Amino acid sequence: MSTPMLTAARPAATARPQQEADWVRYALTGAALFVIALFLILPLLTVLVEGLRKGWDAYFSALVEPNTLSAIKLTLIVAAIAVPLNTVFGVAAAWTIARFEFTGKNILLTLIDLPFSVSPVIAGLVYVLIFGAQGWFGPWLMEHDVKILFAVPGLVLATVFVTFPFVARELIPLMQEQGRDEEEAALSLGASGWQMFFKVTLPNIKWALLYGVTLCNARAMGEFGAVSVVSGHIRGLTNTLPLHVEILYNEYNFAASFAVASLLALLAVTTLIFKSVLEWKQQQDRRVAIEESVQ
Amino acid sequence: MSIQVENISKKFGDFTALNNVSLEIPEGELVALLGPSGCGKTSLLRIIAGLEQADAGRILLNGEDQTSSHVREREIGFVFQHYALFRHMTVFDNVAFGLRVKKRAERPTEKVIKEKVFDLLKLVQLDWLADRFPDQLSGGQRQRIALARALAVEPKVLLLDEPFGALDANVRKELRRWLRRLHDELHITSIFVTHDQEEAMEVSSRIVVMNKGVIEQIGTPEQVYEHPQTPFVSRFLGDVNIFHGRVDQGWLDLDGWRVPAPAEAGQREQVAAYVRPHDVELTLEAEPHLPPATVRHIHHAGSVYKLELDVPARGTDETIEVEVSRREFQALNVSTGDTVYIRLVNPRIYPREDAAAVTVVSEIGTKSAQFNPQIANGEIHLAQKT
Repeated sequence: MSTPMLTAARPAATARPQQEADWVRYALTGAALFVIALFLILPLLTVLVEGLRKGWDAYFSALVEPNTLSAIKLTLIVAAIAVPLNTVFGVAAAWTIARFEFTGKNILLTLIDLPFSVSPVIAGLVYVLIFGAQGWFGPWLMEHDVKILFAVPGLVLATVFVTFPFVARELIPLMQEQGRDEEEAALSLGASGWQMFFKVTLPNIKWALLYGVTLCNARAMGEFGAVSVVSGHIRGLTNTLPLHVEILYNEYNFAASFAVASLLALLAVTTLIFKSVLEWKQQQDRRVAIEESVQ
Repeated sequence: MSIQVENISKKFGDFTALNNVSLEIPEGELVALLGPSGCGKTSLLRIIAGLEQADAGRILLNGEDQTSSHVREREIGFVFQHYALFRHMTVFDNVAFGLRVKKRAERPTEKVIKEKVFDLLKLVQLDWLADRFPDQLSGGQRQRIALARALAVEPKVLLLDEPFGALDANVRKELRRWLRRLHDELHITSIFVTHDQEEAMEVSSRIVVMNKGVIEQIGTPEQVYEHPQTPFVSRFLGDVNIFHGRVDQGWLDLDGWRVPAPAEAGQREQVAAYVRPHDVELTLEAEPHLPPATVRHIHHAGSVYKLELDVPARGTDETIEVEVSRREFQALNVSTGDTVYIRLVNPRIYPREDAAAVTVVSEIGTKSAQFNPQIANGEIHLAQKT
């Protein structure tokens, strides 16, 4: 009985009125792939090919050159300070916003987004205006021999500013969705504030937090504009990796420039892979959270 | 542990959640806070727990002022509507949580913890689920685990915020009885919040009926149902028909239709009479003062029959609702369109001013007929209130 009915239903199923013809789908997919190849993969390959143009030896010697090593070191130092700072700021801000009602909450939310909407160069200039020789605190700082501009503190400040939103933005929606119940349950069972945070809050947000930290780190290491303004480009002292790439390039030292750039490209690719894994993990967590709140 | 609530007030912005509420709960009671949503019952529970701070007033637990102490110091167990189980922990770890976060000096050994957790899981009949995660459990199972978790720290008071609100009707019924039995076993002072009057009547030994941030009445289920002190309690606990008229020399005069008034009704001009659907008696024989009514509709509602009646003399479309038992219905043997005579038994009389707020009726889902007296040609007519 059921077989004839199935065959009868078949023509309707194959017609698929909602779907485009096969060639449309292939053409669109092909076009997308072509654009990705042209604008994303090709440049990435170019970086590698150009970096290796003079052979592996030249590639590695470019990487171990003292100024490059110092740039790598500086980049790592800046990231090592800026990322933990923004992780703490981000968690604190997200927790405040997700858990409490207070006046000025919307202003705080908007301010968190400010670094996304302001050009990084402007962000850098702001610090020059505040701490520069002609700036508000410049004379006082000079008197007391404190160096902020054209030194590591300036680089850290600029990086912190630019990467501020990443962690907070990632956590706010998740924490709002999860609500306060579990934390209140922990407190009612006698947990202290820190026990609540480490045993309940943190495990619930860990994937989103790692995701935010990863993006924050990638941006901290790759930031050019804001850092360029406050760095002063002192070779071996205040040049981060992106700045070093530019200098090498401007000196027509293409192979070395691309070799160093390939490091940043590698960082980007690693970040992307890590990010996809985290995204997948996070979606799983979120699905559970939604299922729980629906039931 | 006894609970005393003294003059608690709480505002959220312009909204008054609690207005000078006082309440005393003796040790070992199982009390329901009952009211429509927004009446302040959950706020009151959270203030007793210490999860929310009152703007004014005091909370005394066992006679000690705990108004400003932290939730973790109040020795309460709190059960949430949406369970609030720790999603990244197994059932075992959830129940063990309260024991493991104790200060080192008070913390039991892992062996003792294990024994205790399994005892509790047996108490809630779910020891076979110890290794599961919360998302692998059904709603009813989750709520029982949440209860076991709350009981693990041996709280002196158990506070439950709409504990069955998120469950299916069948599971809800089963868990109600189970909670009742559990309370009989443990005798722990418990308060649970609900908007379901049936649930409150079935589970609790005392009901606190709340509305708009104040307590309307406190009493046993029987007291609040049989002797409601305010029109709101009348309407909220069960269906009610509302009639407007006046009390005159021992009679409740509903425009020529006279009913003996209860003695305490006194002598009042404008009153509202509240009559439950099962307090309307039907008879087939005409008697003085019994107005005729036409059967408009008959619902067969399981154990009872619900009749909608027109009272034609009133000239209104609004019907009154009457409930009769199967046996009575069979004895009456009426069908749609027949004429019957109605007698009001046990009407609750309230001053007319109170009843002015009857528009709430539709919000809380009780069906009722409303009549408004109108004066025309020197006579009072009861017309449908629009």
